[in-house]
Amino acid sequence: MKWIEYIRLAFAEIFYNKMRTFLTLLGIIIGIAAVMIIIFVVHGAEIYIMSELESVLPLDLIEVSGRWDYDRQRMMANVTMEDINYIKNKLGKDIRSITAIYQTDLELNYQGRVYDADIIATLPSFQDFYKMSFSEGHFFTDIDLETRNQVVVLGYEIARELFPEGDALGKKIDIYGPYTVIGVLSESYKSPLVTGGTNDNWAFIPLTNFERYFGIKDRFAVLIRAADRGNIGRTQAKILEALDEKYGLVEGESKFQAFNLSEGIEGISIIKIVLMVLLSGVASITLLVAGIGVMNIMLVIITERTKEIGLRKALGASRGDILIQFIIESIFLCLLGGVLGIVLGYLGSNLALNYAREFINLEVAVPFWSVILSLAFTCGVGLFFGIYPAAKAAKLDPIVALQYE
Amino acid sequence: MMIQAEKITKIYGKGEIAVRALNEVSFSVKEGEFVAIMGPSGSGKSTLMNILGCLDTPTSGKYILNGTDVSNMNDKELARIRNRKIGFIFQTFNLLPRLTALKNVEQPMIYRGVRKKQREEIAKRVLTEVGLGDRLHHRPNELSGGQRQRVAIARALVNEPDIILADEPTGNLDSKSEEDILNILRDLNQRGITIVMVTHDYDVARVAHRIVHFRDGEIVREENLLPDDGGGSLEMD
Repeated sequence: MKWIEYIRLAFAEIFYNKMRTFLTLLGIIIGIAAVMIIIFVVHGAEIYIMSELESVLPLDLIEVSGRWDYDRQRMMANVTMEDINYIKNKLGKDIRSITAIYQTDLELNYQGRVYDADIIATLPSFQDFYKMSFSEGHFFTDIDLETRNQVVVLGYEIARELFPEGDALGKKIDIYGPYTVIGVLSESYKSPLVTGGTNDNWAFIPLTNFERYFGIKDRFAVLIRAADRGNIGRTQAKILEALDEKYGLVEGESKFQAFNLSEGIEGISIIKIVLMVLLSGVASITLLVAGIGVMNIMLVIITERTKEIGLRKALGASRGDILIQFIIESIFLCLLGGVLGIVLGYLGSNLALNYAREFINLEVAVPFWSVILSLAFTCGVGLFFGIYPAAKAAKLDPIVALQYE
Repeated sequence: MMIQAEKITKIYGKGEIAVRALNEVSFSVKEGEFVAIMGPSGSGKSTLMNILGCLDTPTSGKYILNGTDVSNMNDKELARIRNRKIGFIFQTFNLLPRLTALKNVEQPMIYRGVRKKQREEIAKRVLTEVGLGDRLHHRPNELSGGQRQRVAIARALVNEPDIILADEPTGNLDSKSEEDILNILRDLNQRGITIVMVTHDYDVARVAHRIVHFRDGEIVREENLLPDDGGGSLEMD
């Protein structure tokens, strides 16, 4: 209750001398605005880099395969189609999707027009791994897989080369036998930041088809998307554990191996942290200087109000009461600067965003935690630089203070 | 006994430059009494007022305020005594310039921990009692000297103190306002409030029951202005 009164008093004082308050706070306003903009730019850059990488390949990808036995020159084990269902059941919500692929180059032929395509023989769940949008038709289904239907989905460029008229759907093209076109993809997104990753020259066929034609089984690569990218290492370990449980170990080691992209992504995080630390250092120095300014003005305020301090002591204020009153005043002074700094930082961030949008496609908002951080930081500055002046006020002798003119 | 000060000595500084502001002063005030303290500047009357007001502690001696020994209290305890048991009135009023009359009067109750609503009620009531019911929301610079001192009196009264200490309460006022203020003090005293007042004006001092004269840190003379049954000590030098 006393606190509310102290806060009211602080506001009355802060707004009484508006020009002085504003000039005192200029340092804090600029410092906090700088912190906000720095955080926003680094945050925006991270989101941009991540989304560009994501457009090329899923960042939560885990690849699982059998381990090669160098002594016997063969695989120790293969992940089978049965294992795929086994992993799906065993891992449950830990994984978002699982699929299997064979990848090879083959010639596609339609009435004499030839295209050298990347063939992806896979499962319908492959759609969960790459962003695909269809200009016509659809991906093949589980039924196509089971009945080994000779169907194909064409990438944008293949369709354009083989069917310049744009009438691909339903046509039969020759791969290693006649395949009916059931879907055509639209042109894939080309990232200005990351090369590769286009599926424009890919042709997709059912995995079962491929295995029958080439007379192989279960030699595919297994791809898994972890549900939680932050937990990708644990998810990977769980997958290997599940397989080990089923296949046993050889000389104490797993017959399988797995890889994920987390290390590459950690590299990006480290760059982010280094940037944050460097730029925050600059911001901290600004705020240190601003804090000293606040301390200076608090000392002036306390000298000006010596008589008030003496009076308050006569009316029953203890040292603690005076200390708290002036610390609160200092904190609220700084908080006002913080709020103005946040407003300025928000405007600056949006200005930067609008500028960036002239070159790249970016959707990013000022992170809420940067607002909280800024408020906490200004409170800290107010507290730290307010303690000394407030302690000085609290220690004043009431008689001397009352006689002060 | 409201005030019982025994052999109070106050020495400022140390060694050669030490100044003995009060020299073994014994002084007492009965409950309901109105005492005036007179004396030239440097006579020790202000030092005594500071000690009586618990703004300062004596170098030696004992001060008992309404049964409580306050000679050796710490800062927090003294602050509590000042807040609950003592009401101050100053020559220069000492109002907070940025606060309204009402807010000024509320201040001592903030330190006592009274709720806002109750604070406002009490402050309004007491301000009305001193004749400022129509000036609640005026700031000090919008009030006359007499009105300011009445706000200060209201402020001294809100925590229902045992005693009011007035330091030259009419020193900055014209004669009309002086009369008003003295009338208010006399009324308060008649309602049973103990008052100790410092003044250098004999006409002002005569409002009291008893006048105590100071010189060189000692009480040199006491005058009893009540004919027979008056309070206070009857010993005279």
